[in-house]
Amino acid sequence: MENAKLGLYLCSGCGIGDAVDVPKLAATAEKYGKPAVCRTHACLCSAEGVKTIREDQAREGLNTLCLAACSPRVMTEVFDFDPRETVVDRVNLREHVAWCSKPKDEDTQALAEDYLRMGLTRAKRMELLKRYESETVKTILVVGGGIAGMTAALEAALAGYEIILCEKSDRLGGFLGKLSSRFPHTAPFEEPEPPPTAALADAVLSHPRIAVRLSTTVESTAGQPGQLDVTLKSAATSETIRVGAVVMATGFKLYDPKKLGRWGYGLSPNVLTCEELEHQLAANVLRRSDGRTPRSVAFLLCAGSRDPEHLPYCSAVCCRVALKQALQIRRLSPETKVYIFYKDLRSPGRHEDFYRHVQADPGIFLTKAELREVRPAKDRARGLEVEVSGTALGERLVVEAELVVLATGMQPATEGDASHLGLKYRQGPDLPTIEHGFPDSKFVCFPYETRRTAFYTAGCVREPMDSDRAVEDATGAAMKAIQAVELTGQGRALHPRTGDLSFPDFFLQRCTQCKRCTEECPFGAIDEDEKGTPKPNPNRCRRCGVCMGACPERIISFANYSVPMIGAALKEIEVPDAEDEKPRIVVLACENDALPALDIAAMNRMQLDATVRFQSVRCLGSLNIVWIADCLSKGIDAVLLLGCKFGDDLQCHFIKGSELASKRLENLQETLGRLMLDANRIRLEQVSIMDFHRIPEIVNAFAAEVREMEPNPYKGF
Amino acid sequence: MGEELKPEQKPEEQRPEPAAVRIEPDLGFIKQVSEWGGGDLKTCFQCATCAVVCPLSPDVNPFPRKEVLWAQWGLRSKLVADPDLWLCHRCNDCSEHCPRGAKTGDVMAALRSYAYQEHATPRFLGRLLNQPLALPLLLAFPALVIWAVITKGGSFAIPAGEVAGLSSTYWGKMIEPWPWLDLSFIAAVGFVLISFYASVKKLWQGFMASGVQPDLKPKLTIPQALVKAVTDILFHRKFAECGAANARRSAHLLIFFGFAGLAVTTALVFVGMYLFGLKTPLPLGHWIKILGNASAIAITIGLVLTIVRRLTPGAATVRYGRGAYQDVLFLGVLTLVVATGIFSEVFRLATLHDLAYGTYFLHLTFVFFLLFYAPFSKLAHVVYHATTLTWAYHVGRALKTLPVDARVQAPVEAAKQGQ
Repeated sequence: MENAKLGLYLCSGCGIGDAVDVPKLAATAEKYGKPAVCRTHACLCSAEGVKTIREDQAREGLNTLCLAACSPRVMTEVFDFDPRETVVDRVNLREHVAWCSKPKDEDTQALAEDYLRMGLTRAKRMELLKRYESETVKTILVVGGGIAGMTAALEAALAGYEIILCEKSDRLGGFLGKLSSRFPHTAPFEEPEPPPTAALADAVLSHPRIAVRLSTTVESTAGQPGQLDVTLKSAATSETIRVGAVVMATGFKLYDPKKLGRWGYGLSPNVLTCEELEHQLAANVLRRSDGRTPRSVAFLLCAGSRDPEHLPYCSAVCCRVALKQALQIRRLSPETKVYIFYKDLRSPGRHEDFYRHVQADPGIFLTKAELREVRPAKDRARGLEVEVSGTALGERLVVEAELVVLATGMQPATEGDASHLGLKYRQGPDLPTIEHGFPDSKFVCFPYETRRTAFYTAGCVREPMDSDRAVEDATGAAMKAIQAVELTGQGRALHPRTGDLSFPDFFLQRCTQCKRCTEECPFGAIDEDEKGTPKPNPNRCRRCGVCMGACPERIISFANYSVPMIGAALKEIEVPDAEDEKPRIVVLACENDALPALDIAAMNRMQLDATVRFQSVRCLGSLNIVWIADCLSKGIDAVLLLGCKFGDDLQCHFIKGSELASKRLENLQETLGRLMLDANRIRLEQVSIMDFHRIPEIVNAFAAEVREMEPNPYKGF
Repeated sequence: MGEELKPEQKPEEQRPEPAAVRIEPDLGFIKQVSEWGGGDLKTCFQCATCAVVCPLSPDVNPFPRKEVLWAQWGLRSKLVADPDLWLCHRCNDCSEHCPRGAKTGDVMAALRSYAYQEHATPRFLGRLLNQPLALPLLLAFPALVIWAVITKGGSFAIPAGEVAGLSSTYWGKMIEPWPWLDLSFIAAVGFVLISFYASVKKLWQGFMASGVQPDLKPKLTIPQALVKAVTDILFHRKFAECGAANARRSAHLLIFFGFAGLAVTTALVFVGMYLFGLKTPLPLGHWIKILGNASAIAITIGLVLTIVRRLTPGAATVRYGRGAYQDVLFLGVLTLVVATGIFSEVFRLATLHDLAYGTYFLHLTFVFFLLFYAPFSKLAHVVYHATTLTWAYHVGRALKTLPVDARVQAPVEAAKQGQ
């Protein structure tokens, strides 16, 4: 900041004073940073310590603070300065120096000095934050009127929010609402019970803050959280409303049984799906196509589920649905035998009691089995026969079945359907999917999230689940939607940088319209005009900095986080001469997992090689390659990147940040070649927060390798 | 020899695919077995703990898991031909260790009840013996036979003034036409033997065709196998391997030898009367009389032990089983035979001749009942177990060839120690 008035505060508590010479450190830093105020304190986080800072601020008009004490992850309530009035950089002398290094060692002292210089440099380059002002609304749109949608609407309405609930059909209730019973969800978990949807629909319809729009679909959604303009379409009208956040609970559809060859659907009208049988049972009917009551019924579970050729996953409810239907069949027709052929019967928790209850019926025959074939019986009048193998009874069995019921699995309702939201986003009209077409973020720590800010999914559109879990899911999604409208209204970021006021600033005069930022943003936050110039939507932004890392022109910056700022800080690392045989290694560590893991390692007093200098980044995706080039050209011997796991089982908080970083590293090879440097000097390691015990090992092993290498030939240039 | 008994293991890929088996559950059969004490058969969830803890179960197609499974699926014909029903000694180790608390031993007993009925020749008698409502009718038949024999000469009258408790004429007068009585019993024995022959033949053929023992190559000749089976039975060797209900062995031994002793006594008296002019009643000091009385005491102790255990509630019910109708009927009739036998002797010695006559009439009726219905009642188990054990030695199904895991053996041993 141009008119920065800097205060430097060093804490000697928590063992810092025992590990480094704090007065000497203060003297060096003072000479280097020339702060208006420089103080050391035995316990900076005490009421007295904080009071000293506040008094200095009032007296000297300090607007920039460099606090050299503990990790920025702790004592956040104590060192709580309004970022719109004061710039704060916290130098981690405790976890990164005192707790992980040899005390009173010259290398430890040098480590602390480097960190202080880096901190002072960052602090001086930070700007005060400005709140992003936008007129927002807090209305929440719920799409889908099934059990999940109704629950989300009711929960958010009860919390005081205005809700618009739009439902495609002409009635509320969804799939469950069409059934006469569901499998038991209450003790003693024995008899089918009526679904709770009718009572829920009454509560929703009579709630004053819920506006229900039946026979209505979403045609398009434009804008950004807090200002989403949604066009609702019904038969007669089309109307645009403004909402703050959206819960999508559009449910599931059953896998098309016609795709299941040997399961025999279409072979005879007496091969049904569970859904078709449910319609019969709802009317207290059980009959074959010729009107007679079947004397035997065979249920084939996992019909296409957990099958790589069809749906590779489990749909969670089919086993219990079949058990319920078997019981209903036996009640309707006690002479009818019911076979249930399963892969693994899944009836978890207290639902085991339901399984036992059904199993006790002497006319229900259960066995593990692999289906071989459904075919017409030799005596056609007897209907069909089912051949299975791998049963407890023997290798291959054949049973006669006058009715065959296929328990087909769930797919998200969005699959193969017209867009349910019609997003007018540069990255497409739908919520991105990761696996099997379910629009789930796969965010490790945050269910209900999608990869579109302020859009949450609940119920079976997110993942196959039973009705109890759908209620839980919807309640969670409603809570997330409330957080979204509230934080967006304050111009603050949502999870995981919750409350962050910073937002990316685009210096568009220098933009080359390369579109990398609009393509790489994990949340689709940036649209673009016809020419390809980015049009940022700050309320969609999660502040990860992936755009900043992507931009080859380096025109995207945050007021408190930018390419030049980190670059300048890295340049402050003092590189000893090659003869000193003290290599220097920079570790760029993701603040979401790697950095907390390092803090935990330090709490356990795990020792780190003193050649290593940590610099935290918001996400490895914000890594700009120029930082590495800068380090190497300055004589830093190696750079280690610590980011989250990517690939199928990704753990990245911003979905693909670490993956993008690894791609950018590939592009770096050419630069390294030009510099005549070994590619081994740059490495990316994937770690999670639970790897804290492993991280010192990774860092120290890398340092040992680097010691074996020739020193960086650019030292001293 | 143990080496020889191992089943031939072929590599998986070389094994020809077995033909598909057509299954048709018999709901009536499931209902029947459930009613006869097999009500727990649906509780099973196929963990196979029972087959692992069973000390008598063979390595190939072990029991009783498969029997419970077949019963769940109502596979009547498979169960009727199953030799393993008769290899089971109802140790109840399976019931004791079942993680779902099923009384597997009781299920096996219920299945045996069903099998008695199915193997019976003629079968309708098997059905009747399993039918509590038919009991009065079944009792009436021996009563009528004895009555008819006794009244044939019109001499079923209490001899007036006769109080000579030890007089041989006393009994002779009561039942004048001895040969008639003996002839009716001889006829009954003949019928029973024919019936058993037919049943055993059917049983043996059923075992051979059952597929339960895949390798049917004879391991012992039938006479060798028979000797092994009989000695096993005499010493109750299989019973000795039982865990939970190990205590049943001593009670069963007492009943077994008591019964055998009484049967031998009867045979000796019969032979003595017709060939050596032996006069009954024998004096108390006569060696045959001593044998008879000693046997009566042994069987009485055995019966009392068994009945007390069956009636004790709680854990003992699991350990010794509840007893299906067939079990209760057999135990009841046997008890009545012994009781009336003892009391008719006691009353005779006490010269309470009215009571002695009446009790002796009942004794003859119950003995006839026991004998005549033997092939259809639980008494047939003597023959069926002996046949099955012989068959099992013959084809090598009676020997365990694989060692029992110590972790499994330990609780079984502990259960034995706890007796």
